[in-house]
Amino acid sequence: MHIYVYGSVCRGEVQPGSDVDMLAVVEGSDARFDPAVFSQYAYSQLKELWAEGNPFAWHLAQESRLVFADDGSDFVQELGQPARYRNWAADSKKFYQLFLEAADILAVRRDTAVFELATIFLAVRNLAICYSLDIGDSPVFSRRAFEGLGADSLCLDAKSRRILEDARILSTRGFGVPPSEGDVSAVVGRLSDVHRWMCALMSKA
Amino acid sequence: MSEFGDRMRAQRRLLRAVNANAWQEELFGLSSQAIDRWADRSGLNPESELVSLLRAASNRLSFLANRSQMQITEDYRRVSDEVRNLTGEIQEAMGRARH
Repeated sequence: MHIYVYGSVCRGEVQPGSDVDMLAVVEGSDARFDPAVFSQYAYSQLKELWAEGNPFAWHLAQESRLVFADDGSDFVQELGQPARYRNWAADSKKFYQLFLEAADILAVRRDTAVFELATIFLAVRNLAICYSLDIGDSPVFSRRAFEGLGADSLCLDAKSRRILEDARILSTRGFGVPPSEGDVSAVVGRLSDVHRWMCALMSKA
Repeated sequence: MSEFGDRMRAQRRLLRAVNANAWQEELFGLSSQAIDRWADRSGLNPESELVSLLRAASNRLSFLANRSQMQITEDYRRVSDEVRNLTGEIQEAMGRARH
């Protein structure tokens, strides 16, 4: 059994409401790990992710820290560098579609507004991460990965970015103050810029 | 679409079903913490039928999340069906919770 911490805390990106991402790597499955606290993977699953160059494998390879190992080894470190990422076409389409669905819903109804804003944040961030992996220089996994792409970064005003980040924390951690109707409308008004940025990334990679 | 997209849509259907009622605050997501917050703001007993059903749906979606990298399997289909059924049960439980 190996236990790792990964994600924002390993980057020092701590903010109110942020959680500590924990990974348990086990033989088969282990019911002792609460799924609300741990992402649980079998050793064989993690090896498969490494072999396919999955973004999560790259994330762990770059930003995980061993907390406990029952055999004294560092399993993730021993896996070495994951295979080259080669799923950009499918992943970009997936996150683009996710964005479109959420944007379309926000245009006509608001009963799941926070969830839709959180989904847009997820789509934008993950598209940026996958793009950084695809172009291959240096993958970016930060919460604001979309601002870490140099000339290809998304230029989003600070207010819209905050509203999207806050919605993600509300939706996943249940923490924070809900956006006002004006806040939601402000972000909706910027979604055409986000759409253009997504299309530009998809045409470049 | 992808399993990932399917899971997000299932979550959205559940949230939409819950938020169809005028609660003190909308349910923002199906994470354990989001459910805790919503139940507290809505004055619902954490052990109530409705909250328990939401937790069950959350757990089943987590099951799917942990298998998002895997091919579609019988397990995946079975759990997807369970989440769909839970959505119906949640709608019925909401009717009871409001009376």
